[in-house]
Amino acid sequence: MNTALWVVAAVALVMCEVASRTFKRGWPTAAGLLGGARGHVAGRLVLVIGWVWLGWHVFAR
Amino acid sequence: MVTSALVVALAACGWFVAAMPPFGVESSAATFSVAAAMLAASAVLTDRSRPAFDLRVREPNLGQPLVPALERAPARAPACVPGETISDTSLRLRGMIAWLLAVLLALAVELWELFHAPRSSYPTLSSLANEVLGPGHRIARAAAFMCWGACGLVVASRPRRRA
Repeated sequence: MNTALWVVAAVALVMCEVASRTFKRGWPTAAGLLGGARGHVAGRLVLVIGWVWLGWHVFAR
Repeated sequence: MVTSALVVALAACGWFVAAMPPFGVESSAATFSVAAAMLAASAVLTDRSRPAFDLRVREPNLGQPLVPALERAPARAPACVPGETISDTSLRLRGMIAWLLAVLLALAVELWELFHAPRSSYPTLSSLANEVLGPGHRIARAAAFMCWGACGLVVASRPRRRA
């Protein structure tokens, strides 16, 4: 049951990406959103901190 | 060439890090060292890819007229019909809201699972990932380490502007 919640969340994310590929113009892709965040110093800082935390969380602890 | 060397180095590091026990000084030191190296490599590669340091401009071009990169006229955006622009903006707004809701849903699921027990019945994203990337799965762990390191090259760099 609780794993099904993860499936629903994953389907929602995948549907957003599929919609962006279907509409092509207008609807942002995940890569476009990340690219937008990378365009600002603060966005890059948040992404780098998140990336370092992910590596520490998965590989060091 | 540099990227290939980085991939090979990441694969080698990943193979050794994957064998290290978690909650250890070695695994923390290796992870943070690789993170620092990737950030430094990202900074160097970004600096090298700037137009002022573009090798195509700096190299002697044997008799052909040298056109500086900055003088090249950017491609003009196609003229848009106002109706299409409004439609695109509306669709973009709807897309942003949809993405936000999907991310909030994933966050809500994570918090729901996190504050419930037992973990076997309420798996968090970390516990699900641990089934695949746990210390017993060396190859998958090494591959994940390589992908994580490669992501560091991307997230730390400024996106290239399209002409």
